[in-house]
Amino acid sequence: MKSWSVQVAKWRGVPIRLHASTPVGLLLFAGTSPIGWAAFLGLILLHELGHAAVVLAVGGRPTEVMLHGFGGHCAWSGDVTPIARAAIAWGGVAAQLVLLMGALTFWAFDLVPLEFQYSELWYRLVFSNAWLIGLNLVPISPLDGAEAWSLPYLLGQRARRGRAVSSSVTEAEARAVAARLLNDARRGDE
Amino acid sequence: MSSVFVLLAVITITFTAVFVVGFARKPPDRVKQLKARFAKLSRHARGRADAELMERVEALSERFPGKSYVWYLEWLVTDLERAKR
Repeated sequence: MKSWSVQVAKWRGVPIRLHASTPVGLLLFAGTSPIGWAAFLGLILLHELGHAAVVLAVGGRPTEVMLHGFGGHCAWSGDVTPIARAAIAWGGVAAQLVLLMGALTFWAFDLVPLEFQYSELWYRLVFSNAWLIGLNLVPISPLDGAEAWSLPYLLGQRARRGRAVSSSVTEAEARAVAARLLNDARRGDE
Repeated sequence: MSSVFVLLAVITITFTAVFVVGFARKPPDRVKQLKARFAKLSRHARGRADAELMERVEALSERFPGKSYVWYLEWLVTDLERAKR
């Protein structure tokens, strides 16, 4: 994948590369409009940087962000927990959700001018963004949804285990008290 | 705009439902897993492995007091695995 691509920028030491197939994807997904191209590229870049940010947050090392004709990918290395791996899968969608929620908040408070609401940029920001989020969360590999939906399950298991640990701590304390009493009793016998 | 809100609602509901399923399902018993692993590694019969495990946990608890039962089991299993390598 690295061949047929050029490095266009760097983010926190991570090279951001643009693949030769990108224009084909842009034509397919955004037509010939320059605003559409810019918005689509921006969304894909935001998505991949979202992955990279979570990789950094969980102690991994993002090695490359690539934008190509089918979207993009964020390559990374590192030994992370299953929860962290699932969180990385959510990273891209989470970054897009932040943008979408921001746009919807402005819209809800009537802060978006009416003419802007009919512009292509608004359409891409809200509707294309939402469409991309939905597509990415389909639980089929290689889409993010294939790994992302294990996050709520693992969080649920961890929450349950957390409760079990706190009850086992109480049990351990009770055992320690019992052992101390038994030792005291033995000493008394001697 | 309603389609966007429907999508957000579907994501939220699915996330919550999967979380609840994860919370409701019993996680695998770590102690049971470690005991089985110890028995397999020590190549003793079940009863003998349990007795040896008890002795070794007791000895280990004197060496490293105040640790959890799982901690001792993990220590013993890791030790055995290292010895096998």
